[in-house]
Amino acid sequence: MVSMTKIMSLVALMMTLVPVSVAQTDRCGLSPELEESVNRLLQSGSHYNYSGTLLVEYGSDREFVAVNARQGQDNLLTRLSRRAGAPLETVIAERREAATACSLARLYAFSAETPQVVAGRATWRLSIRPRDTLRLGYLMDIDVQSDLPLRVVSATPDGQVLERFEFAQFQLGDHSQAVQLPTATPKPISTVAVTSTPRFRFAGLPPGFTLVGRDDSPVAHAVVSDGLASASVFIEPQPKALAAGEGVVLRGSTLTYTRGTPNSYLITVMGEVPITTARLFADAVRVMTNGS
Amino acid sequence: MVGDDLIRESMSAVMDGEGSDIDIARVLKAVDSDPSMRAYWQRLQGSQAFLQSGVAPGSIDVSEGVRAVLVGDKPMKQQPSPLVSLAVAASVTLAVMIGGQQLLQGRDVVNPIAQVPGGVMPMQGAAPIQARYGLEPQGQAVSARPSKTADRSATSRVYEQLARERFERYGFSHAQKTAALQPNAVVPFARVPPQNR
Repeated sequence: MVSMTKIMSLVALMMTLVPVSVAQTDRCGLSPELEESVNRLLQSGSHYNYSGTLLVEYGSDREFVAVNARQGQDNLLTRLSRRAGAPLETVIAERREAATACSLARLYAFSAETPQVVAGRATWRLSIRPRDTLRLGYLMDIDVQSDLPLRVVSATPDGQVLERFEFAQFQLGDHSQAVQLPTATPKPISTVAVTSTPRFRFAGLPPGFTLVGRDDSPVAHAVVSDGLASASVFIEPQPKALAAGEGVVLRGSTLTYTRGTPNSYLITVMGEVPITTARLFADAVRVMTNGS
Repeated sequence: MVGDDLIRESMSAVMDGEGSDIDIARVLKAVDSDPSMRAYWQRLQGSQAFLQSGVAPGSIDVSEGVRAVLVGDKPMKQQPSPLVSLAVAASVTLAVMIGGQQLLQGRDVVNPIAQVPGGVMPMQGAAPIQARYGLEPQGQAVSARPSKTADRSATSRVYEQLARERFERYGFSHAQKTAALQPNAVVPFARVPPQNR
């Protein structure tokens, strides 16, 4: 009898635990711990003030940049390797809603790797591998205390490392919970021909990418993102009488792809994406003429 | 099967820069939902990479390749120059079709999509050009890298220059609008040369 009671108790316990176990492993393919960690990373940028010296490396070129990130205010940059007394640059990012780990898990495979030490601080390593060849891969060493990435390496889908950012020195400032960054005032999209800026739409977007913004300044452009990778697509009248063609430049992980179309427009895709993805964006652009 | 043929035709049209809205939609849907079509698309890209680099794509598992780099934290491959430029040609379209057909037969390997530094891509209306590598971020002279392709045309050089100018002209705007999408919002600004503000 005692034995039967134990068995029934065990069965009851298993029935209780099994669904929990399934739920823990099945949620968008990420463990609860990893999902939470990735979500903290994705939101970390708006929570802390910090300063430090950032090493930026592209191939054989490298420079040191002093940064002072201040929530709700301009961020300050000083390029230490350019020239003595380099001017202080002020930059501010337009506010956007952060992606979530689960929304990215369909496009990227996340895994936690061996912890590292960066800038004298304890970090944990996150490997972000693209599930297709339309986006780049990343390796991030993330500060345990703040969840800010202290080292980021980006690579093409075939494994060529494009750039490396790493804090050589880092000081964490105040935790500014729920800081409201100033939202960029959206400029009205011109529907009247006050300028020669052409209007355009996308016939479609590569898998995982969505339109997240539009603007008419400095020229008509749209911003697309998959939540991690992003690109801006600019369109303008062809400045010169040229045959159709295309050209590409690459600085670190930022690729700039420019295509001249037969109908005399210049499409420029700029983003942290492989060239195939940039070409797909350009392929999908449709200039809207009167009546279209 | 007929549907697959249609998708393949659309993929070819898109690759040639002649895809209609329907072609684009068909390709994007297929790449998103059909693993076999995704593999075919990647092989198509592989054939293009072959024409760009002159190296036949091998049995490379893309995911594993990236993982090897990321996990191993290998030192960065030294690129010829920080600003790599590439220009394109249309006259290789025929070569794409011939070379691509050979590569596409019976290959199920997943290949890298693009060898960004160097090579030639098919493009309607453009002349063959030699890929060029490297521009110093301060706008210094561009170092040329020997190409496997024909001489660059004046048109292609102009497009390279246009792309370079667009990077300098619109780089800050791109950083401003996309920085918040990245975990460290300062990094995108660090990529943009200071004189471009």
